[in-house]
Amino acid sequence: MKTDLELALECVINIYHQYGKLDLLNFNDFKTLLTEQAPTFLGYRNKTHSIFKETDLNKDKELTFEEFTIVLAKVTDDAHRIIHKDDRCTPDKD
Amino acid sequence: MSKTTQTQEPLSELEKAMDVIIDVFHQYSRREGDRDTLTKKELKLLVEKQLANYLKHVKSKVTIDEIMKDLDINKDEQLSFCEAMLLIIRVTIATHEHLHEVEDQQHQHKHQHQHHH
Repeated sequence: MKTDLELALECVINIYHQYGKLDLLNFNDFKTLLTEQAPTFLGYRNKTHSIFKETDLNKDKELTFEEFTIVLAKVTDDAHRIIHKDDRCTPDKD
Repeated sequence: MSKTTQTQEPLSELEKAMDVIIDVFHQYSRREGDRDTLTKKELKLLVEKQLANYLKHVKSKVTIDEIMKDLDINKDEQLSFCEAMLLIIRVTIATHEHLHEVEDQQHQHKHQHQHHH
């Protein structure tokens, strides 16, 4: 019987697979994923290019799941800050 | 007490999943001391209750002490949400790898069967 947390993490993995091809995300996949799945984090900022650049550690223009988790951590941290009414994360910091 | 939401739109699947992650963190962080950080005791409870199935698959058994030492970057004997996210990320990566390993094994098994006649 999976726990709530384990189900949530599996959901994240499923979302990654939904938007990517062959277990990788190119820039367009990534942009669509963030626009549809993390609109609050993106807000009005058009920073998907710079977020992608920061996240693509080996500069092969595709994100592996490990690279994608960098963004996941930022988005979740941002959501946590909103709840506590702290300063928001900006996509190109932290 | 109602939460004020910034948007009227329903939450996306990813946002719902993140809400669960944050909620689980708070369920354990609020039990003792600072309500927004995990003590070692709270971490132990969280890992044992919420990551029970994951622990079964982990090849190298780590102790809570080792996890705590590894995550507690500023050495204040508490895990902030940010520090705890390191663990969450590692578990997610390991779960992702495990899912693919299981898929590969199943695929190989099927392949072997087909050649068995």
